Amino acid sequence: MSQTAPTTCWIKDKLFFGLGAREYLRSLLTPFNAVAAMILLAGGVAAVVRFGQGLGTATNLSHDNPWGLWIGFDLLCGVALAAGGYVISSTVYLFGLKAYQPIVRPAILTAFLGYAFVVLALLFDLGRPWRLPYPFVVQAGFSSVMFEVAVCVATYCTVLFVEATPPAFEWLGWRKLRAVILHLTIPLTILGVILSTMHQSSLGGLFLIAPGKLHPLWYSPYLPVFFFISSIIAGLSMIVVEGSLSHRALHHRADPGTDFDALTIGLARAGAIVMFSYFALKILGVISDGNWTYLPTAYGSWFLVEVLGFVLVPCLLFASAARNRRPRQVKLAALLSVLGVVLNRLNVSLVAFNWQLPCEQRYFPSWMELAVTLSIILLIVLVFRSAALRMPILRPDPTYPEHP
Amino acid sequence: MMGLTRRQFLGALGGATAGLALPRTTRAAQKGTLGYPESFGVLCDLSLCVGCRRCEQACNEANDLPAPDQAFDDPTVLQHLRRTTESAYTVVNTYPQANAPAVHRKLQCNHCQEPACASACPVGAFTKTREGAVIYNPDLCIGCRYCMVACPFGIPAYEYHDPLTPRVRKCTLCHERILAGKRPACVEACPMEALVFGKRTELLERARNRIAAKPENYLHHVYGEHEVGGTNWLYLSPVPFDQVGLPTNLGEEPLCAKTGGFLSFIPVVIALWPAFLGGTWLFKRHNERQGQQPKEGA
Amino acid sequence: MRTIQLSLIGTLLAALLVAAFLIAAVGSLLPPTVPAIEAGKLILGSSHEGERPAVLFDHDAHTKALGNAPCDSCHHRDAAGVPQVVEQPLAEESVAPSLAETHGKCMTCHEDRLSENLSAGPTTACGDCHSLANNALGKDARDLFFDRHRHAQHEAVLQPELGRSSCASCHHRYDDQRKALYEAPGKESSCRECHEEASTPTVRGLRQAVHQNCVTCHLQRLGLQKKSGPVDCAGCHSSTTPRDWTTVPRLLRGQPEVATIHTMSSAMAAVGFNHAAHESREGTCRVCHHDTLERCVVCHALGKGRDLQTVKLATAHHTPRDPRSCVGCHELEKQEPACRGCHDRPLQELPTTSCGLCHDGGPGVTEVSSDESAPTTSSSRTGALLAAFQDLSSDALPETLRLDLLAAEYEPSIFPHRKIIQTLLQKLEASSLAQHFHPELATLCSGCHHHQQPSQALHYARCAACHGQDDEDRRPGLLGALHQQCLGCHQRMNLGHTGCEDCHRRRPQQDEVR
Repeated sequence: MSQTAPTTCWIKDKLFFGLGAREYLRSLLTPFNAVAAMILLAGGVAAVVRFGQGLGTATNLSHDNPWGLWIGFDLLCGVALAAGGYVISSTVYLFGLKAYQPIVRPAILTAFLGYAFVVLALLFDLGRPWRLPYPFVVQAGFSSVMFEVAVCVATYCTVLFVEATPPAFEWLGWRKLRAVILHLTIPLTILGVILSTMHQSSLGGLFLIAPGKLHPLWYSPYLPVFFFISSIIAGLSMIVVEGSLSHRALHHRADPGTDFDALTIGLARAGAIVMFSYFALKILGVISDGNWTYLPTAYGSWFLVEVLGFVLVPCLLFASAARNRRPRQVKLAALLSVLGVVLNRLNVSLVAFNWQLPCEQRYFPSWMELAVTLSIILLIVLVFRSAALRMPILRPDPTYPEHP
Repeated sequence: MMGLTRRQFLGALGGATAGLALPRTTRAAQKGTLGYPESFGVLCDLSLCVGCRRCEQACNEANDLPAPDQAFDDPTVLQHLRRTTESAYTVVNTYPQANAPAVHRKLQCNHCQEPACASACPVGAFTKTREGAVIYNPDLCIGCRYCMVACPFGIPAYEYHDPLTPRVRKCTLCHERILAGKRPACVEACPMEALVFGKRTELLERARNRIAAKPENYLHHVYGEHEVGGTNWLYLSPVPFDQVGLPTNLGEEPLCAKTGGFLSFIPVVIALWPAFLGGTWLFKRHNERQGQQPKEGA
Repeated sequence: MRTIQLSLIGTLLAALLVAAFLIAAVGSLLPPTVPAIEAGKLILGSSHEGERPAVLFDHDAHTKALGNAPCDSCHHRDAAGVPQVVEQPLAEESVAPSLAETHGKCMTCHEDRLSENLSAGPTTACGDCHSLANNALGKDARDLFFDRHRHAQHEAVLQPELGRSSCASCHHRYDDQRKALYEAPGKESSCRECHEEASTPTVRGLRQAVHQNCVTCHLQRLGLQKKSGPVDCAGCHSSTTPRDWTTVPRLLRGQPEVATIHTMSSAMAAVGFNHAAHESREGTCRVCHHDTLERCVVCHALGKGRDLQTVKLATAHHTPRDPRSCVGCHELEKQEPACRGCHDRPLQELPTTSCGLCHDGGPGVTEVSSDESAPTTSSSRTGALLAAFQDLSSDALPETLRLDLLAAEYEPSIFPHRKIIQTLLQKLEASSLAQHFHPELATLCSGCHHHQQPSQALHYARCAACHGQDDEDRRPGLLGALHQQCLGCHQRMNLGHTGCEDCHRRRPQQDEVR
């Protein structure tokens, strides 16, 4: 057991990397942090406007466009991009591919932070955010897809929180609690996959109720299936993207024993297979609904850009990179496919939604919405960085044994 | 846990599949039981509406709404198409015709028999009352605005200007007045009696009688009889309905059936996934252990 | 560094794909352009299986450019020396020329003129002539309506020259057995009786026949230095302005001024039909007599080769939906704003009360004027109505009525009862049709005082007697009844004054500050 030490020493030790307060603060003066501070300031201003003057002033939402960037990007894309958690944990713990163990912890942390900040973004978007628990404690709308999303996201957030605690416990030195949590790994992972299947597909299911408002090339009774599969794609790709970013930025904390590049090849293989299935399903969806007549229109061309440029091309890049063992190509393909998932979600929620309304009634985000979104992304990055610099995320703590 | 035998694994999977036989409780609408049979409705005869907007004025007064920027008798308002807002539960839009008088259309909540807004709300803030009105409870609303996404007619409006207590606003069919035995304010105010209040079943019959009496005056279709499962607000029109801003591509299925089908898969996932995933884990672990220990019989 | 190369190629491909589809997207947002077609331009060559777009051939431009004797440059003359027009204009003996021949004719001329430094059409690029993107543009010239006015113009020129046989200049019939045209004086009919839209192996189509007849004759007369009509497209195919048909002289073909139409039944009296008066309403005889210009009974009565598909005689005269029937034409007239206030719906069934207004026994009983402007006995009928109206006391027909049963938000409405009847009578004066069918004042009252017997004593129930507080199926409440009646009439008659305050002022509201 570590001896009890004076509080100031704990802060210095645990939080300031052993530096003195002034030295630590001076170390924070980097260009990146300066830009981050400016973005956060803009986000702060936007937050004050939103809660002081209402959504009408802070956003470009209207009666015709009730959902904007905060739902389209923060919620729909955020949840998709945080899917790496359940993808990798099921790969390692359920399908037994132990080689990917080193990337489980960063993936889980990314996922947890992603979901936590999605909830934060939701608090901005909801008209009465303090009533967020109402569906659970006051009255439940069981026929609503959104209720199902709420229940599953809330539960999964808890699951992710629990799954993300072991590195924190190792950092704090709480061995017993850590052991208890690690025993729960398998049931938590299974629960995570079940909950993820449900809410990832339900995000697509949200739009099933509005067939008249969503362009036929994007509307399909299989929207939930599309969203679920694209969440797997997003998860795999985000692991590659976020992994390569954090290895470049925080390489001094990375585990020298892990060959991240080699792992990406395996992820690329999986990505290629999943992406090709997704591509085939999208094409089959267009054919089975007889919607190819929409392809020669402006929206049709945009649909082809999304499906060919951002699904088929990265799929083929993944495949060739995996075959020829080219990590750099994997990273490019992963970036393209992340952009593709983001593009798909934005298309479904903002671009192809209300497609029949005239130009003047269409929606474009305001600067305050962008500021809040960017701030939230930035906060995820900053918290991840803070955690990864202090806790055994990117490499294991040698004083703790492997999971029994 | 000891090694799992093949028999045990298959048995667990079969048991989970039996969970599929559980009754589907989330299917929203059964055929033939849409809405309440004794509910009230309003028949709106567009061949009679002259665009005087007295209905808008009556609604504004009955609901204590703020006065609009342009007065109700200002004819220039009709030059642009408008939609409902948080301070205008109903508006009248004008659709000029070539070689015929303009057709005006009153726009308001259609009080569907199977309202999409009610099925979409995660806290059940919308209720389809026995009287036919679809009403909103601001004490439950969390402000997610999914009802606004769900409504195929684009009716609910939101108080975006309110930072702390924003509400969804829409026509209430003057539910309080109906309970007191009165007619909705707009119906009472219409000088042309283009709006008729009564039992929905009787209104449908009256609508058909009007078509039979003057077949050249109307399109031979009562809008709202079957659209999205039927609405309590019915329209008769001399011109095609899509020319007066009423969507004609909605189909006859209530919109909640589109999500109901998806939601009914939830029990399947909850039943199957644990068996499949747990089984996979056990299988993998079994293989691992087989690989580590020397084989000892079957 | 193959890794980088392939990655770059992949990125480039993606970028190109995006760019290509973005361009496609933007391009498909631009509206397509449709060329305008004016009279005088013909569409040629649209039958070549769509290999090339059709040619927009400016006939008038060519005739102008070719100066004297322009027809011979392209058109063959037939055995009689008449230039062939319209169909197979370039062919000898009506044999269709090959594509090469047609092209040869056009291109040779263009090239020759070019070599002589004269203005010429395109000679090289196919697309310069074959430029019409949309082959389905169909008709190019406005329809020419050969009405009584044009007929009178022709008569005015030809009759002094040719006397009785001037009709034969244009009108002919065809003998199937002798396979020859012959004249049939007194039996002239419309060209359309035999010449239909499309050509058949035996009969030329309407376009072909008419152009052959008209343009050829015009050309001939021009050649003989006689007064002639136009030979260019725009000369005939110019917009026709609506005309006052009463000023055009009657087209005489031996028809009566007043006819007795016998009903072949003892139940109904004969109809005294003023043919001359009806002639002056329309521009052609075909409006009633179809293309044959025969009497109705010749085709619409049973017997003599007519099959069971033919419309029955009674239907032909009485069907309310077809403007060729008597009742149908009258129904159309009743859609005028002056009449529509009361006559707001087309007839479903014929009312039995008005049969006698037409079936009055024969000519001599009704005197309807053929000249609208001069005062005649018909306006003496209106005169009688006016007199009856002025005789009405203010008890029987008050000057105004105070409608106050529903006055709450608005003040009572002052209803100008007498003025309305007076206005209706003025509108009646303008139409002899209306005068004929409104023989008594009571007929005017029935417009508003409906669902009651027209009362000679002009006693009618008040609106509130039948229209109560609430609406019922097919009977609105008083509020709706008054507004539907008044506003409906104002709208249908284009009278304006449909604002709320035009009829009743708003009472100032208690809580109003405005």
